[in-house]
Amino acid sequence: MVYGVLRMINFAHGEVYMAGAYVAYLAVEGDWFGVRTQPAWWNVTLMVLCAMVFCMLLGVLIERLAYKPVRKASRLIALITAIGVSYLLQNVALLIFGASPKYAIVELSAPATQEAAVTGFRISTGQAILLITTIIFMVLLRIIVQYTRFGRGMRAVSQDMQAASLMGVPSDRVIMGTFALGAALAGAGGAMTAAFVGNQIFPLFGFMPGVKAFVSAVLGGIGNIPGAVLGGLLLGVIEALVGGNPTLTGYRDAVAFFVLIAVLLFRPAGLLGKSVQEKV
Amino acid sequence: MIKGYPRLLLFVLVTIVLLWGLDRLLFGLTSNGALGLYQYRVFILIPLLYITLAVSLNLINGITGQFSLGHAGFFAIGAYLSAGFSKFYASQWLAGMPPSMQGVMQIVFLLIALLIGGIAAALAGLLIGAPTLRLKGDYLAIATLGFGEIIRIMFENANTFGGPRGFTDLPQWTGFGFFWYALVAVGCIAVCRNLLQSAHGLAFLSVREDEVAAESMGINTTRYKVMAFILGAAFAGIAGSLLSHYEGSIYPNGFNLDVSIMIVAMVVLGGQGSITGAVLAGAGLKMLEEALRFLPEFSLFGRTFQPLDLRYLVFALVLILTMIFRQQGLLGHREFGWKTIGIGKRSKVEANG
Repeated sequence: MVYGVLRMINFAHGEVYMAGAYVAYLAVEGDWFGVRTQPAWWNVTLMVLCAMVFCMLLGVLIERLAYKPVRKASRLIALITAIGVSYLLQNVALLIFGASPKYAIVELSAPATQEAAVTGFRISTGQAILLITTIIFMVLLRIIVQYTRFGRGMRAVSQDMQAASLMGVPSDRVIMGTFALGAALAGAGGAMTAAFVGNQIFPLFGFMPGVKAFVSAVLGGIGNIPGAVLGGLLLGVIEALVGGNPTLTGYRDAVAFFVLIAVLLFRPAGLLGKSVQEKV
Repeated sequence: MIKGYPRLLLFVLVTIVLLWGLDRLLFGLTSNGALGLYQYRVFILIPLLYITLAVSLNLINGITGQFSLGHAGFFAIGAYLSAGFSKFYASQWLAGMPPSMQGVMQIVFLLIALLIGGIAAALAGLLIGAPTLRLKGDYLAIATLGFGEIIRIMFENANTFGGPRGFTDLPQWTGFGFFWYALVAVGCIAVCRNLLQSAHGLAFLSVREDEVAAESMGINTTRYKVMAFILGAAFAGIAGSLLSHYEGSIYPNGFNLDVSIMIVAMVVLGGQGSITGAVLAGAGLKMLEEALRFLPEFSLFGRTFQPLDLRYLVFALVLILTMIFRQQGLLGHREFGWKTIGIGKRSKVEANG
């Protein structure tokens, strides 16, 4: 989303996701709202909200301190700054929490794994919650972008920042808002992945997901939402196939990059994208 | 005034004699204890290696204006393949020779190994550069980052090269090391400098300044981008060969993304496009990193830290702060050379950004 508005890859997005996961870890460690002792849906919601607020602040901070000063400069400079921010956050997390993985698993009151008899798929309650929340967030996001004043501002800025400013859209505030929104969603995602799915949390928690999200987007065609979903699914399947093959299993993390390079070579516009002629 | 090839030859000879003299001087200093071997290694040798890496990346990122995040990949290819040649083939050949020949042949084999490292990395540069250099900015950065990671993962999975346990028991043919390290660094700087002052150099710069305009002036921009990539990769590969032939053991993790980012930080800090800047920042950042080792431990968040743990934080801050406060880097596009101190005539080709 941030990419759509600013035309700039936010390398630090994965790190915000990681920060959300660490907030969840702190919440479980410190037993905020009783998430560890008496988990109930409202406690857990509070925890996720905490992660969202923290990440929103972090996102705004990053935007103000690092990205805003370089927004007018060339793309390369913005890119270097973004890489620097991402790297900085990774290492701050490494300093604070150390390299050893942490867990923030919340045992929900419902049985952890239920078998869905009809389909035969096994899905844990946590994964189900994650899926449902994701859908809710997607719908909310859609509403915000399509029907609110702020969303209209976002779309205007994404089309032409200068023209939007001339039309009275406060583009600075819109960009900051976009960062805040994107960061809050990333934080929620990080917290929920850590708490419900039980993934390990470590300083590079956000890096590979970030790269893979980017690869999915490129695979599907940048700026094309159905394409991104298709790209994500395809990448997941390819990765699972390679990971399951004993001779290739060591290459699991390289797959995303192979796919990326292949797509860029043979179909730079992505599977569902149209190629855009560059204007001079 | 001598001109043309004799002049070049003279320069090469003088350089070799000077570097050899310095090498012996340093060797004398370390053997009588005036200079610790460890200090010599971290404050002289490793910075020299990173000067080569920074100057070669500068050719891609600074002078041609592309953005590569995969320099560690070329470094790794050079290190592994040249070490493979020396360990599996050359040392056997060497063992079968009469002892009187071994001294000379070791140098010959070292030169061949350096060449192999350079050529292998150059081929990789061609292979990866030709397709990806059509991409721009962010895409190129991620594609090269991906390439670097693929290389590292490949060596991690290659049992011939020791896999994750590292490639060890390699022949350490560079001996004391300074001569070879310095020779490669000086060679890399000289090639880049002379390239910049030639018509080709202008073509590289024009790609950075305005690709469309360059193309309309009849410059094959893709060709120059790939050329920069190949040349930069070749020097990184040679630097890798040096590393493996000095250290005697190399590990896949020594070529991870941290290394690529560190080299980028050096180029960015020195001023993208400035060779002198790359030299200063390459040596400076590396020495700074090593100097952190000598600071006392401290406590934060209830844990104890070595100041060395902060080094990546320092690189990240260097990147961000340079971009915010001084986008052109320390030196911008300026160079420090003979003409700065008023010796020699001004060259006809003046690069201005």
